[in-house]
Amino acid sequence: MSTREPWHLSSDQLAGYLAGTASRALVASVEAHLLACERCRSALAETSGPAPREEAWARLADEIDRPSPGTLPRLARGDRILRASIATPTMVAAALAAVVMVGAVPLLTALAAPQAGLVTLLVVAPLAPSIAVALAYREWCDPAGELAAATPMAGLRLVALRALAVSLVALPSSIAVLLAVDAWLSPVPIRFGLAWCLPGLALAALVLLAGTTRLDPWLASAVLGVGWSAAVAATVTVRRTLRPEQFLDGLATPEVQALALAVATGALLLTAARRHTVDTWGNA
Amino acid sequence: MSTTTITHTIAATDLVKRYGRRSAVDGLTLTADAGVVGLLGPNGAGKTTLLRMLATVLAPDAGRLEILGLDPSVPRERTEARRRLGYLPQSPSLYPGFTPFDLVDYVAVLKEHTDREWRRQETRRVLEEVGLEDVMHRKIRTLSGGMRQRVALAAAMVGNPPLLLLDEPATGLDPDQRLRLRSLLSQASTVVMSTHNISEVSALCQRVYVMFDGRLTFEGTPGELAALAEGRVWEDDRPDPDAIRSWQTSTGSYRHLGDPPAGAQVVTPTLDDGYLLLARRERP
Repeated sequence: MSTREPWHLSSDQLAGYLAGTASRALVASVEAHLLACERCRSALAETSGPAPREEAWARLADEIDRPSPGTLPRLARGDRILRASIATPTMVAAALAAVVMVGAVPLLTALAAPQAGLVTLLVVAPLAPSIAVALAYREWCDPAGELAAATPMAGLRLVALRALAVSLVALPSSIAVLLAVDAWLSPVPIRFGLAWCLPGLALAALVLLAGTTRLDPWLASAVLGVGWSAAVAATVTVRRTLRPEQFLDGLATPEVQALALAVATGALLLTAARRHTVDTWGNA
Repeated sequence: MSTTTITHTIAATDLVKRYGRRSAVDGLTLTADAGVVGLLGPNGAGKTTLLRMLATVLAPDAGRLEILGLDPSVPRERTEARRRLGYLPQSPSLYPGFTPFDLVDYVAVLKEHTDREWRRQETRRVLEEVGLEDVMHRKIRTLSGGMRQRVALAAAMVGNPPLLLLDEPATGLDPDQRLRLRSLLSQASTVVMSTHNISEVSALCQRVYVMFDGRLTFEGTPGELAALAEGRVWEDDRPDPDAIRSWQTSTGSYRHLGDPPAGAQVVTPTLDDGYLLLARRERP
């Protein structure tokens, strides 16, 4: 019996096994036989060859690399910019600071004294976008370092995208705080939630403009922040009240809003005209 | 007057870059075309400053620069040049929280490659070219210095730019990887790479430019650099006080550079001999 010519796998059986079309019984016997038979193992290797295995690996690697369908909002250049903008420690700090400024600080104040909380929000919320812009100007916060400076996106486009990314984090959190205060603490007039938006945009646009000059964007955002806080503090002193309606009467007037819009538009137009000055070329 | 213009990939005329009173690049003129050009010189010769200007990261204080037929002092042409060049900065700082895949993909975004699928393929291709396919999804902070260098090299090569500007690309690479770098560079059309390592020049470069104190002192093939010392190198078994330089070789005999005495055993000069003779002439 042991002298009988041993049984070997036919090429049809091997092909069926490889293609996954063989019956379960055949698969079991093929595998049992392969364990014992060197000749059929090499026949299998020859039939399958390295190519399908390589292909399988390539397919797997492909699967792993394939970008997952975007869960984050996509900016003009895809979500990689957004990730790159907020993934570095500096920008994470910026986004956190923005959330704390427009979220936690007014919320805590509102818990202690509802009206003071809204005033606090009014003071700090417009500063968040300007700080985001100032941070976005820091060239060392780019994940690729100097490599990024030699790419076509370098300059104002990249700065603006980064600032936008941080603002996208800050804006929803400020709206969430307003909704929370409205629901649990005291009713918030809807215009309150909107009145600071244009002044905030104006301050951010001024910082963006400062970055196209020799001025330090940090300094510009600090000066504007102090100025804005002083203006609100002056209103508190003059009117002797912390009632938010009093500020709204001042801030939500068409004149003030129109002025803010004009400043923002002017600053953005000037920035666009001076966009080429935001470049390591000529500044290093 | 001639109306024909010969366009070089790089044409620099009388370039000057000063830091305070010191001129890092001091009236340098050079052209570069297809092939690998090695920039050789001691530390502080101005190689990095020159490469940063060629990469449009740094503006020259004086002189004219033309990159791929474009004038980088014109913003629009500068952006266009950046679309077509790849730049590896000296000791590139890459964000350690990214993976090589993230980082190269991000740089591809900065180079305006908007098609995510294309970017994914291209990112994988360049990372495979530099031999990082196995670690492309590991955080950069876990990679060795040589691997980080290759991540930056991959980022410089993404999109297969016709001009590559590489500041010390072989730093941190082992001999095997250097060999690989050689075949990588032979695929690119124009490469300008800096080094202070003479053996890299003979291994990688078709042409060699030698810089001393911000100026170009030699331009030619590696063979021509070696030939500068033709008839001026000799060997015997003891030091020679009349030679410009004498040093003991690994075989125990002495090698001398200078005017050989009568009857001396003159030997074939190497690149090192040519370079040392040049260095002696520049800095007696």
